[in-house]
Amino acid sequence: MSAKHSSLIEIETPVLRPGSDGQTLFWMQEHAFCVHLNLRGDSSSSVFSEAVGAVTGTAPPEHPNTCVSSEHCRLAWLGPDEWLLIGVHEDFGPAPLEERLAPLHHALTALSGGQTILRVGGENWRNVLASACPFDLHPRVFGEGACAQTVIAYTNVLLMPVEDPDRGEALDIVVRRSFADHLARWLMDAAAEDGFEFLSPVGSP
Amino acid sequence: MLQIECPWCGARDQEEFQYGGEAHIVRPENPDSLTDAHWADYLFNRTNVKGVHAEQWCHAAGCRRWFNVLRDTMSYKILAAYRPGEQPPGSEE
Repeated sequence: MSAKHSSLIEIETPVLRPGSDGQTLFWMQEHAFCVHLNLRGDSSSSVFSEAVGAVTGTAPPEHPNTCVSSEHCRLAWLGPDEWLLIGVHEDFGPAPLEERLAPLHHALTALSGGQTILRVGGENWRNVLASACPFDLHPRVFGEGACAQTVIAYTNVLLMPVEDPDRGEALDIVVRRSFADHLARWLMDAAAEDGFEFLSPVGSP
Repeated sequence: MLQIECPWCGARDQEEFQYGGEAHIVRPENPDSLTDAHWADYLFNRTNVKGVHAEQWCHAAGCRRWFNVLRDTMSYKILAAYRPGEQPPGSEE
């Protein structure tokens, strides 16, 4: 079996490139090798919500474009009957959930190898993203507890505002692994003027 | 650029959506009993209205759900958006 590689293996990190005035107003960092599961089912059925809650610690959010988190995972709304489950720990596998949901109408699809998380932040992150994203990122309409699927630089992404424990306010961008390199390079180019720091990835294979 | 009101996600940029042609076209129940002309009419002929047009859109880069939109083909103004299976606002059953 071959070793697992980060989706951004082609980009050598860390990179520190201050802007024209010597400042660094944007940073990004990949959160690699998280557990991603796509979950589908009927959240209006209390049996389904309880079964999901029993394993994940939280019921799937019913309100569009919101996400909830528990100590095990984050659950983001993707559609009226569809959610993305991101495991906080590497050992959060689909087996317990599959076992619990077996008697119910559902679909559980493992996406861990198919997508990755790019966390961005810094003083100017909204301006950097706004140059290629049609979605309104202003904190007045898009704060913690929200999520949104949209496009950045022609690439489909899921956005989730987060609080980074070390660096404060940030945004998680969930992106297909095959587009991650394009997106990261595009963001580096967009942030060149403001100055950016691309940190080494978090997470181990 | 249009702003389209997805019935689930709210107002989003047109870039996130895909157009899906005229809405409320019902497949004939017994295609075998139709003449070629009737079948061709179902497959190919559309109303091509000048004015309010009911059409299907998919929120392709968002929640990936299909829904219907009433759009004025002269002004491009979007008058309403509603979920599949619902009747257009203002219409009587």
